Amino acid sequence: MNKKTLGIVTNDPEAVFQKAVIAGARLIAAQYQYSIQIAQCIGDLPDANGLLIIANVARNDEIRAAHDSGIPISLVAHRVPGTSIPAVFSNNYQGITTLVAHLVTGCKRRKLVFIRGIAEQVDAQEREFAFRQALMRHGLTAPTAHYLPGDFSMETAADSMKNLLASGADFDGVVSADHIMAIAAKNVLQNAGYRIPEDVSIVGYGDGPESELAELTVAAANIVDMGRRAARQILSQMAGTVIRGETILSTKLIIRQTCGYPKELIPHV
Amino acid sequence: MRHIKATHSQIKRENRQLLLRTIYAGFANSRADLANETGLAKPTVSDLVAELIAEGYLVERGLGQSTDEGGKRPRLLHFVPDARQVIGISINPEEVIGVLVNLNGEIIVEHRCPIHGRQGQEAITAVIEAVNGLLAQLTAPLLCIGVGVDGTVDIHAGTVRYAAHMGWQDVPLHLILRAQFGVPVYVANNTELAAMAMFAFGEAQGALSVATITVDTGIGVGFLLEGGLVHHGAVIDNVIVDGQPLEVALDWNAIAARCQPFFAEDASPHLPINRPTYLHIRAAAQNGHPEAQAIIDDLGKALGPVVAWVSALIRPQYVVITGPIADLGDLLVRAILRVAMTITSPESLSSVRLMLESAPNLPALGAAAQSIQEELGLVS
Repeated sequence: MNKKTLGIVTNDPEAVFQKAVIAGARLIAAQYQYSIQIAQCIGDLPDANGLLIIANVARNDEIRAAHDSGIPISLVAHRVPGTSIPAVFSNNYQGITTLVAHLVTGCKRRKLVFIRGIAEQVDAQEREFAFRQALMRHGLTAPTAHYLPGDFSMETAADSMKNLLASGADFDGVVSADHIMAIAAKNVLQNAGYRIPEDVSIVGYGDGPESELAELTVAAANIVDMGRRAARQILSQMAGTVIRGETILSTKLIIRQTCGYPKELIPHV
Repeated sequence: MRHIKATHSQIKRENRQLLLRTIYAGFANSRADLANETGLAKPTVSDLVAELIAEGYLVERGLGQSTDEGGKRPRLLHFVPDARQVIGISINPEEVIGVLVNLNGEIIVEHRCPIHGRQGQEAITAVIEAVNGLLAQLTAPLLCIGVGVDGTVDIHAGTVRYAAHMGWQDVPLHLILRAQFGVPVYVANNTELAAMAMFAFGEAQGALSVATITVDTGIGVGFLLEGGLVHHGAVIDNVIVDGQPLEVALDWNAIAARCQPFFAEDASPHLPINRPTYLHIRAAAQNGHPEAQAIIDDLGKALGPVVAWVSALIRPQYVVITGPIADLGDLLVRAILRVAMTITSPESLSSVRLMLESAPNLPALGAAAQSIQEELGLVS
């Protein structure tokens, strides 16, 4: 009997986010005895019985064409307008809303900076939208200069933070669209002599061993579970079920040391 | 004979629910305690507990204290919240919002599916495809499905009597979905399910009476009375208040158009998601923008009379304004109360706690809660 194949399309299988998604998908594939093939292009997976496409690795017209050909597809952290291709997201709005509420009400920060993700990615757009909404919820504003380019890259985030410091900007909190960029910002601030969290609080979206090591407070999104959920979604389609819409996973606030929340108030798990 | 059989089955079902509810609420944790607490005969308790253990709802874990007379220490019984999973969905003209929860109402995943413009059978198909999205994520047997609809619903028949935006009239949604998914399905109005969610999982947990007023894609009012045993909801889009139908006074498109002067100041051109929200109105009003304050005053004029009438007639412990409009916060509460106090006596309002809740998944959570209540009796 031919073993069925789940194809995963990603630009970088070793990047933190993609690696975690693939790990989750592998768990479900193994459970249901599917093999996995990974490629950078949809065209490189001609034998796949279904495609799991991570973020904006492929052009929307390519994804539409593959969908029209009848192959089951699930998207992770991406949507293709005008189609009914199902997707899996973490709850960007909830995560950022929780982080801002924690910084403002829990840690008494009011002058916030936001580090953006890649402008074209849905996750980055939703997180910035959520940040702007959360500021209004708390009666705050942030000047344009407080929105820093980050591109989900440590280098870009670090450069942006250096530029912000050079400009003499006045801020007391940083919300980052992902935890990796938050760690980069923390390093820059500490190297410049800032005390974290006494002078500046830092929080980020997402989680991983790096965040734990950096004592970073996060809205943790379980990325391995996203991979598992996406694989379940695609296996169900491969079995003939029609799925429409987006499956959304909740985030969880994990309070560590970088936010400045009083230690005695941190709930013990 | 048929009648007697049905009665036996019903009694057994009620006894099972009673035992499960007693353990779930923490009133008993052994067979002997269950018999004492419920008044059921010990053999009956023993048989039903054996059934509930076999079905995975209960587990035996640990030993309790023996009685004063001595004897064997009882084996302790524990409720298993992950024994089954439940789907709750709410259908509005824009989208289907679904939750997959365990028996404690803890969300495992959510699912959202746009259905804008779909009507009739096309809308039913979209609902089925949205539920499929949640079925794919099941990690325990599915107990039941709860469904909320923006419309008039006969909850006993499970039929949508009228849902204008969906083009549904006398649609037996419960039969259609039961045939599709093979589990019990319970259908109700979205606004009463929002009340159920506040009662089961929200700040009004355990209240005797909750009223909800929803302002979203439609306007509805829902009630939950007698600790969850009675609930009802209705669409009030066409009710005339302050000289115009509520659907006109509370129409988001008209409100959004009035936001343009101050929204343009805040717009983020680089961001594809770039639309006014109630939070823009709130922020602008807090910054002293007169048009923003005028919008909130007008919303108060529309909702104040509804809150006044609901409070005076039902005297609920809680009145909850739900939907995105709740993001206006205290500014909206003050605008509503200013008007409500001119219509009804302060006494009518003083015993009511007016709350706001903007969570979009509220009716879906309520749908899950209602179906858990129907199947296992765990909520009321």
